[in-house]
Amino acid sequence: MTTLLTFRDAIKSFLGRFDYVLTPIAKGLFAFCMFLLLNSRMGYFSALDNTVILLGIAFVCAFLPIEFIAGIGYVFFVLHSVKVSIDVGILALALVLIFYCAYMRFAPKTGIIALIIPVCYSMEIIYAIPILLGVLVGPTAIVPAIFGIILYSFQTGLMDVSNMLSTVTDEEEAVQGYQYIIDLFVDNKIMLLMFVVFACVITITYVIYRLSFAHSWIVAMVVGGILNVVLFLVGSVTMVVDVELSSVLGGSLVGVLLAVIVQFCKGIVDYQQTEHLQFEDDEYYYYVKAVPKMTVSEVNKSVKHINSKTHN
Amino acid sequence: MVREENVKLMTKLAIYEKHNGKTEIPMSGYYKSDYVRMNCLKTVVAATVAFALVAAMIITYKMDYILMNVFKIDYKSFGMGVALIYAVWIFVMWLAARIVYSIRYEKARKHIIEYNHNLKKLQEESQKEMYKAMKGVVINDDFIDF
Repeated sequence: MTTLLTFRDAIKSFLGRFDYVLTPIAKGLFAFCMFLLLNSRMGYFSALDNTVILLGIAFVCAFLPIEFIAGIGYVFFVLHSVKVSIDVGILALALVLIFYCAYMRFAPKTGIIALIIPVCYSMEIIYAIPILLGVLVGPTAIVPAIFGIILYSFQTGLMDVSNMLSTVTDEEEAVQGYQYIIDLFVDNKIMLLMFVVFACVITITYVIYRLSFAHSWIVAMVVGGILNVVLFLVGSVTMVVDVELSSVLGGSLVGVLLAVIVQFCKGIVDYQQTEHLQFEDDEYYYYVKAVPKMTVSEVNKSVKHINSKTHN
Repeated sequence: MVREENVKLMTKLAIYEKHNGKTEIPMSGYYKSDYVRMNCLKTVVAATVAFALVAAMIITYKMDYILMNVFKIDYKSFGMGVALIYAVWIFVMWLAARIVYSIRYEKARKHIIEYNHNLKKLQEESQKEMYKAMKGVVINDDFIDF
């Protein structure tokens, strides 16, 4: 354990020192992967599916805040939808605007969660997400997670609409895309079940995680995992929907494992970064590099045990 | 002459201005009540836009039904229902905005107090330096006759 903690401290100090290089690289890579996965599910707008253009956009994203990266992701989403048909594009734009006006204004950073959810769906780790969000974000992630599930359903509908439009050339059929996608949302019991389970698991995991008893974090993750499985099972029986038990069990297990890894890495991400500042007074210009003080655990600590002698 | 204490203070101030200060310093220009009211108003406008978009989506989706029953629909009760839903929606959003922006202002206030304290300290330090440079002679602007 000590070796792991020392390793963590070493990474933390490394990240702190080279933050100004590593953060843009990480952001750029994240943006590139997200756009690539978005294109793999939606790639209707061929201009956006070009790797060179994607690399260029990812390079710009490297220097932008996370809210702007989310914004560019939503632009991608709308443009791909417009390419399928105008009415579907307008619906996509309306959905994004509703999400922005009703929620994202309060918490702009959570906008990225809604874009990550469809990606997790395609990677088949969707059932792991509520546990992770409960540990990492908390109840503020409920609305973005719900919107992410809606985006996934939208993308699934979009694939069907695209296939239908490629076979039908009739003008009247062309306006059915909008109806088809809204029909997917209405009376979609599996979507409703996911909304409820996500909201419950995120809230309960977060509440237990924040309690002050010893090892509350691991209790929160295990309870979150069990609750995830139980709620999906109960929901599938009461609402009469098909939920794959193996996916739920596997997803919940992956969720707990990922949450444990995230918990370990949380200390790494909390590092204080090296600041590069420029300011001036009446006499001088100052170019300051402020390096935070780091405490790295020593590897070789010699512990001397002093035992009392036993007298016979 | 560069003074270490001043550089430390200026660095602290610059770090704050670079991060939280970007959003928090403009907040200090408002009273809490004004800040919360202004943001509640913005939220109400945004919530109205969201409501209008949802309404437009539903109307477009139900367009066939509306056109077929255009003379049968009880517009009075329909209007009342829509107005009630709108009122509840706006109230919820207004309440959420009030809570969120009050908490945000209170959090920012603590940082702003610390920031102002550091600014004052820096000002005092530079005044002391100025007095030293003047060898104890204090020149007050009030006594200078332009």
